[in-house]
Amino acid sequence: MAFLEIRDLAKNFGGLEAINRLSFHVSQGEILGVIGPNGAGKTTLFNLISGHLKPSRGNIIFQGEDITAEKPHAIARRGIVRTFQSSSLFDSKTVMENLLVAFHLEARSGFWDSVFPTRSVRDVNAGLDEKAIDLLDFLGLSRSRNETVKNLPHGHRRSLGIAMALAASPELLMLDEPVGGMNPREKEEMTALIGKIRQQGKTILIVEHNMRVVMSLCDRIIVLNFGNKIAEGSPAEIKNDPEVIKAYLGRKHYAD
Amino acid sequence: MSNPLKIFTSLGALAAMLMLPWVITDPRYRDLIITMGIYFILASGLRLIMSVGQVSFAQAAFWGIGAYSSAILVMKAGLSFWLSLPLSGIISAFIALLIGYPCLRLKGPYFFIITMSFGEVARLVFTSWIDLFGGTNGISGIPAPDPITISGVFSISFPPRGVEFYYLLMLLIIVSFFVMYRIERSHFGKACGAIREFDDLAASLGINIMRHSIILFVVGCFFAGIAGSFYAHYMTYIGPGYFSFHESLLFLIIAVIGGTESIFGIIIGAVLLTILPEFTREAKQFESIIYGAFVLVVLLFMPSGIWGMLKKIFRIKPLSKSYI
Amino acid sequence: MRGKMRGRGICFSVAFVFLAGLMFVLFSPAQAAEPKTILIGDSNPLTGGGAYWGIGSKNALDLAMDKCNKAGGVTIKGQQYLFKIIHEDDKYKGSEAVKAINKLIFTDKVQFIVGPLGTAAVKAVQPITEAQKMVMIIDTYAGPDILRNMNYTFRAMVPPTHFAPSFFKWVKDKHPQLKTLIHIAANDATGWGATNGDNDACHALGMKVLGSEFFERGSTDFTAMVTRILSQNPDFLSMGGSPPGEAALLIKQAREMGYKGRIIHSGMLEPSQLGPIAGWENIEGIIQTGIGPEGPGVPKAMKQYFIDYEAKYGNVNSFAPYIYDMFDILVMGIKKANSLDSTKVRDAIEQMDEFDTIWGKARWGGKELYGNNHQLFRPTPVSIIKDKKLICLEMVTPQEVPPPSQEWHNRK
Repeated sequence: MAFLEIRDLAKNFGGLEAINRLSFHVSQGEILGVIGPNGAGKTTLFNLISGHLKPSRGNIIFQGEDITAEKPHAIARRGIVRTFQSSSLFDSKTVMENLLVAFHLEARSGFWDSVFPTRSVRDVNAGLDEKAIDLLDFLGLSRSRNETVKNLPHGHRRSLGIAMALAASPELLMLDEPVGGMNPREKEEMTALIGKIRQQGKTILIVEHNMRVVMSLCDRIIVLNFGNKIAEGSPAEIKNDPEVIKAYLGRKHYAD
Repeated sequence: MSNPLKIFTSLGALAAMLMLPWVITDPRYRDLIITMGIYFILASGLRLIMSVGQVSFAQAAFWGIGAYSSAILVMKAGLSFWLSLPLSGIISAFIALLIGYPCLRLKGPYFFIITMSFGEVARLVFTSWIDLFGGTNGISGIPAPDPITISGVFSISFPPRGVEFYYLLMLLIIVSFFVMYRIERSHFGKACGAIREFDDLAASLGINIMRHSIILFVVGCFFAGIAGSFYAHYMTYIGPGYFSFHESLLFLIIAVIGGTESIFGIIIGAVLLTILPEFTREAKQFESIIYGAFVLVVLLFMPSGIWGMLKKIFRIKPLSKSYI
Repeated sequence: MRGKMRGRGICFSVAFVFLAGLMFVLFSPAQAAEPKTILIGDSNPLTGGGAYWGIGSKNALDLAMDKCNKAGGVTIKGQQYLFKIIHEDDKYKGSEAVKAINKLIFTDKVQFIVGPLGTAAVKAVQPITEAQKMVMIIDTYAGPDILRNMNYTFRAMVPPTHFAPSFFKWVKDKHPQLKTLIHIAANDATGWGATNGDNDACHALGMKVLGSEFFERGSTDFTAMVTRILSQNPDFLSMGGSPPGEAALLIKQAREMGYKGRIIHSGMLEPSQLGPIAGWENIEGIIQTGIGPEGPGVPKAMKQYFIDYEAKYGNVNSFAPYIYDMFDILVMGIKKANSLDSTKVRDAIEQMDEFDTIWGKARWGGKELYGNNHQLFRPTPVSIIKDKKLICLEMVTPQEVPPPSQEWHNRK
């Protein structure tokens, strides 16, 4: 049984087929990369899996259960957590506040818990502070703990976005262009970070433009073009696939 | 809670509330303070749903539902005020649940418009269902709360517009303040703030937007209902004109002027917008202009309300340690 | 020399003290003889929906007060008093009326109150005024229980309950062909009050009420309503309880859609307000109870009142005459009581026999209906719009005991 299975998935906006009868699977513990030129449907695919969009056709099966019709928060609860492309965060709040919100699933955060916090509620929630600090240490963000997020440098925002996704204790982490817009040093750090997360046994699904990062991190790669899967295989196989080269790799600047 | 400054401030505020009737003995000012208190409960209830970024224009309608429920329960069903007070809140909350469940799926202006329509429908029902709500004549002669008696120990009765109403209202304010403050400081409240700021991200972190919105709406309307019950028995007369569009607008202005970020902003808003019209009374026909100019200036120069501005000036630090 | 000087100094001092004392003795009674002031509070809508009525009230009360003050005010137990009215805006809302009345009573310390005209406003302030034993003369139209169990509230406005029977009897006598009607009013307290009063009266006179229609204040499109009305073909439209703005639009649309019958309004419709909107030709012949300076029925005192009002304010307000007497009634009560004690003034007003108003002879009554004699009964005008003007034809006497109530709101 596959960890995550996408069966015959399709999404059209009006007449436009953003995703066309797509099928693939993600195995537990691997890093699967999804690549493709702009407009290939990568972000749409993410939105479909995370429940922010509903597919026109097809099914999404996670750990043997059909989650196609579920709402984003319910899917998150099952262990599929994503980051957002533009690294959008809760900008007006501090790093620590962002992270504490991200611990929502672990926190005692019900209405009655908030009005009448019992000892156990307090203990659980106080424990989250330590967890949050540990996580910030892990990501090298502990020094900007009380910084307002909108003042953070781009690289740190990305890291925080990932930290928040990790705080929701995902089984499957979906990263939407984690190194987009980063300078080479930041890219290197991020690549190392993703490697570290993988070592903790998380399954990861990455959408990324940057070939070098994808090739170095991923176990397998899927290539999308105009909503269709045109290739699937190991990085080496993909590099040599004539279809892929024609559609995508031929364009030099992607291979930087 | 361990912070001694906080305990000191709370005790000081409590003492001030208890002492106030000795300082302000003029019935007119006591009535204004009671008005302030009622506005505070209503606007802070409205602020709850605003904390997920939704604006309800039906707050006055739920206030009215509470007021009418209480009057009818006491006068027609013969219930005691002390039973009808929580029941009115529950009735308002229940209707809020029925309205909120389908309507909170709508966002922004759509929710705003549908609550506005609900407010108008409620007013028309109060006006047209004459046998139950008394039509445009409203309901008069609403009795005062039953005296609280512990035989041989003490007895508290409620003479018309007496100071006893003030203490009852303060009790209700403390309860609502306690709930609102706890929500604001809790994980639950922070999750609501997250929904307002970026709902997709909040959802992807496992926050149930619908559930949070409904809870906030229902709790806000519960307190509106409680405020309505108090108001009905304090005024002894209610009519459909009391719970109109204009009142909903007033509560919205209180929340926005004071600042929705914190419950303290609502206190500022309620106090200012009760006092301001009394100061501008002498200006007669220019009153509306002064009022409008004031609202405009605050909106233009203090986008996060007066509390937001004070926070900036005095650098009141945001909370970075744990929530409850 | 020095001793003499000192002696003279003492002499001057004594003389000075004596003189000062003399002046004090001489002038202090004169100061006591200065007129004191009686404060009267007036709460009315000066802005918002009811502003036309509120401003008319304010002007009428000021006019009456000036007249009284010029004549020397009142003298109570040898002390002369002049009047001062403090006007507050209640925005035609109950909650605002409470604030206004609280200010008048507790801050301004007024001794009497005149004015609230909205039912909601009166009901909202009565718990305060009754508890403070504050004599309050109101001019609200509706609300059957507005006087019941109220010890200090008097109503100087005759509501339709009392005048509609006489008004519609006049209509029946003069226009016997008018046998069926449809009533139209605003969906508010005034509208419901007028509907019940008018329909009860017509029903008792043997006319047939085909239906009652209600519109929301602020409505502009009455097409559906007019279509329904035309299909029933009533002899006349009874529009008591329709405010001027909406009434004008309704008349215009009804006439345009082909309604040719008579229009009767048990309230007042000022032609100058109505004509420009409804069309002058459409409002000719409307029978109503408004009053203006013209016509064979206008009492002499009323004519003088209109002259005085126009001299002071330069316009005519059709609501103001209804208010003017309220001040005089209060003054009569104070004079009769020879006291400013509100309970004594209350008793004095209650015991007033027949007295003169600008409308003619008036008296207090209503015990049978309200449990106390706090309802004013004075002649009511029957007027017609003729050549763009309001012509008062006759004054009729209202009935103290109205015909039995039929609960029109339950009928379709």
